Amino acid sequence: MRYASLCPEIYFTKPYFLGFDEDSVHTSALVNDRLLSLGAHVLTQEESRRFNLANSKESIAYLKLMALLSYLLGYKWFIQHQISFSKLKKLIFKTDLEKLSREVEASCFVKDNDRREEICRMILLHLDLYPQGEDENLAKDRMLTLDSLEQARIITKSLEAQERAREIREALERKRAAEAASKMMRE
Amino acid sequence: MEVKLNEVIKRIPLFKEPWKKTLEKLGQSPYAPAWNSYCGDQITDEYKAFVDEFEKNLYLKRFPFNTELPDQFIGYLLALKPRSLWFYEALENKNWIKEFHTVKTMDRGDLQKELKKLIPFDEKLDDLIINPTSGTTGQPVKVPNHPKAIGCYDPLILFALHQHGIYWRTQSPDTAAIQICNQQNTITYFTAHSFYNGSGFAKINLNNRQWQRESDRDKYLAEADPYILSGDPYSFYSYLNQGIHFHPKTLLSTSISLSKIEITKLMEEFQAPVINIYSLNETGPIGYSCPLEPDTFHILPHDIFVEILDDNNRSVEPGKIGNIHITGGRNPYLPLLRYKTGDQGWMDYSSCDCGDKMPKLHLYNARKMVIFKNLKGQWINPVDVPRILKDYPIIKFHMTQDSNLDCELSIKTQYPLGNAASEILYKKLTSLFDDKINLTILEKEEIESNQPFESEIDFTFLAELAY
Ligand SMILES: [Zn+2]
Repeated sequence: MRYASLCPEIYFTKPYFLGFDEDSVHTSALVNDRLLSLGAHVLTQEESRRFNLANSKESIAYLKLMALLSYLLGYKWFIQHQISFSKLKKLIFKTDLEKLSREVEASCFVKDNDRREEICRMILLHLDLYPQGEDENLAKDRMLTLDSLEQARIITKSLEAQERAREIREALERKRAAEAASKMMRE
Repeated sequence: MEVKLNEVIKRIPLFKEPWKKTLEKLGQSPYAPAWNSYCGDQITDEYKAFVDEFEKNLYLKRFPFNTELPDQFIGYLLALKPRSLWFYEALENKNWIKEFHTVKTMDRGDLQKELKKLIPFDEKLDDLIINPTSGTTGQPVKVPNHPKAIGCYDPLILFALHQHGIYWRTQSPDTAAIQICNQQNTITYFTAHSFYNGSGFAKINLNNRQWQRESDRDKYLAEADPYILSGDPYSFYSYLNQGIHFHPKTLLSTSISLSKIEITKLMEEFQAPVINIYSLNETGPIGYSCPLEPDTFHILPHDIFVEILDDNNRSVEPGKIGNIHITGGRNPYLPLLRYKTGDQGWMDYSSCDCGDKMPKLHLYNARKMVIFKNLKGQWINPVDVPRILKDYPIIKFHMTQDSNLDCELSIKTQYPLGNAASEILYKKLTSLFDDKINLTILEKEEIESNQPFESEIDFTFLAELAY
């Protein structure tokens, strides 16, 4: 499995994928088609509701991302090789995809190299697959670096660093901190 | 200080009633010295489980390594990357797993300035403690630590003993260890360690002023009968010089490297095996002396990776001297990534006949015993110097004494001290030397030396032994 061969698929993503609104494309239909082509069960009515803009609070950005995800899952390797349906479902219903769609414009996952690598890696990692030539550690590390939500979280954390610095300073000065724990030797 | 047993007991969360006898014996003996602190292991059930697990792995997961990052550390680093800004930034390079030698290093200065980046975001600070340093570096830094990480010193010491063929694990409480020091002023306390089933431990100061009668020291030690006597070579020297006759089962020496001759001499004097431990406050124990080659250290914990790097942070060839850097450890507040210890040495990756798979570290020019002298010719322990300096905004210091016994203290401060503060500092320091010493204090922009003390006076403590 190579992500390198998965990435170009995204280049051919039809522009209407990115420009659609609820009238022209039914995301739930796209997701269902994909599940069927991979041999999985279709969504229940309850599950479908999530991808129906009229009946949900989810933003159009989320639906765009889900449409793109369905498209990428149509990559022939996935169809030829049996992939785990439970993992597939978990990926499709992954809750932080909504967060991701708010963080990153769907078109970026097509146009931007890093984002393209990110979404491909996200799919692979969720299906327990690694790009050729990598092992679990390397794949996880690369994902960690590319992960937009992770980056956003780290930026927030570094913005909070002043606050954290104050907490640490206070902890270092607390009376309890001055009370060492007993050790039988010293440096 | 009037000693209250319940003050000690409340610092030992897993305390059991039978341990009280140990505490009474150690703390309230008629021969006991004056105590000035309370201390406990602060080990709860949760931390005990952590220490037990650590001990299991300490025996099971020993592994040979060389200059390449061993696989088991990749998971450790990956887990820290999203939790610590320092790790996130340092491990940004796409190829760090394959090219670990390109990852930036950290040093004591980073611990002073970048602690907020290093401590993981999600690590609760409630249990943060600070164990004081005895000042073996010229760059004092507050090292945040955790009771469970300090708790791991116990199995680490046991492991070092075990490698020397000493099996000590008591079921009924007795005295595990007594740590001796000899300085003007230091923390003294007695306590019990849950890890050793409530066995006692006391930290005592051999300094005259702490004891009612001179002979009490020997009587106290004989009565307490500790299995281990720990200390640095200067305290052992003082011990013998004061004519204390008690012999422990094991001598645990820390703080400096010892030559084979020095170890042999100590073994003869104490009639006990001598185990030397190389340890830093920031890292915990790093190495223990190999029973077959006592002037070398096997890497002690299984959860650290030791590298030898040159001044440009490049790996040196195996066997070449360089700076010692540490990755890993178990202090949740101080995960280490290529941390520069400030000591130099070289590694021996070949297998050792003693059976330990972990490679050996030779310390080079590091942690030699430095002792000052006053005009009466008495030895002055330099560890009293950082104890005085810690009240001042000092980032780094370096103190020397020349052959005329003149002293010079260089300090790098956060802000200028001012005349009044300088004068008090001067008085405190000269009083260490009985007031009669030439001392110059210099405030400097930068201090080159990484050694805190230097002396032109040879301290050949073994040659000086009164025996
Ligand atoms: Zn050995």
